[in-house]
Amino acid sequence: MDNSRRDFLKKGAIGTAAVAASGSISGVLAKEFAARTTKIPSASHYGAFYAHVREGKIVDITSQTDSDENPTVMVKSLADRNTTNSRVKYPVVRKSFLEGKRDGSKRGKEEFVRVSWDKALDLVADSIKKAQAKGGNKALYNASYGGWAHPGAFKPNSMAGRFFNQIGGAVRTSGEYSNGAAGQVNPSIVGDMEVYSIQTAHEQIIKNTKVMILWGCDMYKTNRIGYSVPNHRCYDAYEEYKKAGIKFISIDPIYTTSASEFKADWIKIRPGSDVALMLAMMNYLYKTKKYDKKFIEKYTYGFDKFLPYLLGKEDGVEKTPAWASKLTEIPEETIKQLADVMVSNRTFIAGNWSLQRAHHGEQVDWSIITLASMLGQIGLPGGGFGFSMHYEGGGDANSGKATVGGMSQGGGDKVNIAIPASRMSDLILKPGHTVTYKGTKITYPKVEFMLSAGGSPIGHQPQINELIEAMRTLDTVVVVEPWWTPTAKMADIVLPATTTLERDDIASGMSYSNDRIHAMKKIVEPRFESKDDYEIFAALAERFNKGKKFTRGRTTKQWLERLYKRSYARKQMKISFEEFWEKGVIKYDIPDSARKFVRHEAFRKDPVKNALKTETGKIQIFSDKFANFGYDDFKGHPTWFEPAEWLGNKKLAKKYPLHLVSPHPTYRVHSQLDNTWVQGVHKVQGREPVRISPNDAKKFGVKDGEIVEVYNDRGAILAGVVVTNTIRDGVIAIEEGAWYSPEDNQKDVSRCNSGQVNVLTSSRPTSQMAQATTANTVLVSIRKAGTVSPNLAYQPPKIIGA
Amino acid sequence: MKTLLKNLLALSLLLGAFIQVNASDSFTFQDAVLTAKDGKTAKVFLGVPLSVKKEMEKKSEVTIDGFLFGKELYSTEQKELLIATLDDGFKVSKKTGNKVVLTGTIDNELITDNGPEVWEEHEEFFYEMCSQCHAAPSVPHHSMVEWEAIFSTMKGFSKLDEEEASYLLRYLKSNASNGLLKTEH
Repeated sequence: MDNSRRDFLKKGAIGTAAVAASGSISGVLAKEFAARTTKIPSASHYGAFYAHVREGKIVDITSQTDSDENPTVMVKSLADRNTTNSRVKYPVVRKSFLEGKRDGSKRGKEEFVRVSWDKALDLVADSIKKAQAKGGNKALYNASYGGWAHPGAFKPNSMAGRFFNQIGGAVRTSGEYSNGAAGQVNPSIVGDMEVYSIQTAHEQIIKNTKVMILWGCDMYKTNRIGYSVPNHRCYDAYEEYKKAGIKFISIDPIYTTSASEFKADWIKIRPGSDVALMLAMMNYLYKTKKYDKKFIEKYTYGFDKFLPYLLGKEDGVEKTPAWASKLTEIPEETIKQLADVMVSNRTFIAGNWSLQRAHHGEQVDWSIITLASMLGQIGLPGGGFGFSMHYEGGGDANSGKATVGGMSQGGGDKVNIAIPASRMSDLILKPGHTVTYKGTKITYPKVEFMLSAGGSPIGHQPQINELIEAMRTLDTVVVVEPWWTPTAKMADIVLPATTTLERDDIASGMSYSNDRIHAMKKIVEPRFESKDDYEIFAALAERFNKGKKFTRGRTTKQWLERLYKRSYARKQMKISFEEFWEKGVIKYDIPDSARKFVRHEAFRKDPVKNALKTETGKIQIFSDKFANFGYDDFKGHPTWFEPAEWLGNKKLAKKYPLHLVSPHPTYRVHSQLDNTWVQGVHKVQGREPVRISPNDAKKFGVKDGEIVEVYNDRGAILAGVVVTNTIRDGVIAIEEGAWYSPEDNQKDVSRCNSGQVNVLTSSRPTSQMAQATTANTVLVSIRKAGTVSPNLAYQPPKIIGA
Repeated sequence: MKTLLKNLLALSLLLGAFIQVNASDSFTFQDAVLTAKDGKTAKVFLGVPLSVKKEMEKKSEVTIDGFLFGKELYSTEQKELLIATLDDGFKVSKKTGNKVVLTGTIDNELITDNGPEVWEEHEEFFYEMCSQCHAAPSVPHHSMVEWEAIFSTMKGFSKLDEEEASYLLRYLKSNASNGLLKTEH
């Protein structure tokens, strides 16, 4: 039985919008058309779908509505993405590289030459061997770290990692961009990463929560896509949130879609000052004795060591609402009222991840956890905090049954050097340099060879001009991709990979609900000369006599069957792989008990028996371990540190008077789908939109719909103006993920014609602790664009012989 | 020449015996039973460090250090990893506080001086389960309690059942920075 609609019957707004946008044919024509088409099930980061195929071509894509409660328009663009001219059609090599002139400074500036698969693979293998001869496997850098290419089992990053492990390893990645700061410190604070953990069930929120704080959390937007296959069931739950009369308060420089849907009160905080607001609320709760002293004593450690700092006895600055008011630009009374509302009602703080992608991002979740501890509602139904309500349908009840995993990278890495995710340019530019990392030290080796598969560093890496400079110093850059991404254009050798529509795979949905296994069936034949990632890396492994070890002699189908064997569907339900494959989807029941789940409830009920996995078994408001690291930018307790770039820095703000935030995209997964028609929904004159307040638009003399230049010392981009009341004065927003496109690709540094926001972000790390990205700590200015040329971001480069 | 070889062989055997007798870095190869002189037994988990005091034909007399709480022996005073459970009446030698020494015999085939060898199967399972979405993290980089914290988040993503989760967590903790196997990291 499909339980998904048992509790939430009403469709959300997104569903309605998607149906309107679907443009499906109807009536007699539709019946005739359908008779000649085949309906093939598959799944994606945007939802489960059926591809309608006629004469080898995809003629329509419709959602599997029994697995996708509220489809988004994005799933419709998958057919377009498969046939786009931006596909990499053949193996190619940069012209002068092929001629043996390894002049890295020409990367991104010259044409490519079409070569055979054998020639391309031989060149890759030779380049690896050359780097190994020069510096051992430490000279190899596997830049394919993220598993976001698609939700299937054959993730390109895993294929690349598996290949490198077979030949002795390569420099790899530790941590991630998404939660590079909080994910590294939360386990020691609260005994769990929290950012990827199952959340209090929607049913408990609906029943018990009186106040929900959206602290930068835009659950309506970010739940549109998923790491696995999204069911979009959360939107039905949100309709119930609305009916339940929960009071929503959004603390955010943007009045988000979620704030709008929930009619939230808006606290227009100055970016970078959130920790100051949290500390002031704590100070107020302590001074007025309104905090939950019993909770602090029973469930936390180190409040006494934190208190002197909070009261200003440690640094001479008491963290009062008056103090925070100057930093946050939130009135003192509002800060007190906010604390009062939270402490006197059952309050759930929905945190997010963007706040920790900022300078000193390690402090954010720690401060929210400490504030929530003082409110004393952690472990109560509908109270406490959650850092994943905006991700993978956070709040979904869990089936408790195993779905399917993916193919592994296996062992074999002898290099044993993993650099924090955001340190890519540092690694390449600073060989021999040592950095601190979570109490240890990492020394960068000299890398010569870089490979990226299924991801685009020139998409997600901050400070793009620095990365391009770094990539131009390498001996060899190899990219394995279905599309001409900006990173592919910067490569020496580009190998064309198939899309998931061109091969068989399996996926699960979702990380928290775990109640679907989806077949991702091959829908059309591979276009041009593209090959599966599995086949590409197996062929490369063969050139090192490791082909059999890579494949273990198994076909892709055999791997899929092996992965499926571990599932509840196979083990307990006894559904054969063949039957599953025929059906295309397996559904699990969700037990009612799962709908009663309350995060941290067990700890609250018995903190001895269910002690947290921390130094003391309690919430660490103070950590002796952290204090002993001796860092000056990360201490033993939550601390306010002034960001390196923010509007509170009057000198910097005079030159660059606007704070730039780069939220996740509304119509993409990072840079994915930027090369499809669906971008037409929001782009302005073909450029990424920049949201600006009416006051700032007037101040800078820019008009809605025009193309402007956004710039700082790190670079300049073109963006299309959207004047809106949904962003506070002094702040602009450009969603991340537009494909970088230099106006003049012959220059070393060029203005980006497309609006790739990471040209403007900084590669400065969060702190000596986590070394994570600080993409939201950015000041910029705006000026007229001047002469504008066509944006070629989605055009392939010139290719000789193709 | 023959005599020399004979002497060398005898010396190597003697040295081997010496190393074995004084070894403090042997390990249980898999879950084992420790039998005291009075016949009382304790269940010892795999990978637990042993000091071999006397090697006999089929068994060896060994000692195991740990911290006793009731009938449970842990590797640290913070009870981070259960390494043995004592049956009723098993007598221990007490040191300071909870620190105790267990003495008894274990089958020789369940003893190894190659620590990593104990974990070969676990390691393969770890790589298979924990490198599907990301590169496998360095196990000795984290302490036992850190692994418990990270694992409690990640085990759901790996689709592990309870038995598999317990199997993997023991590997992670035993090989952690403060675990049973001291590895450079």
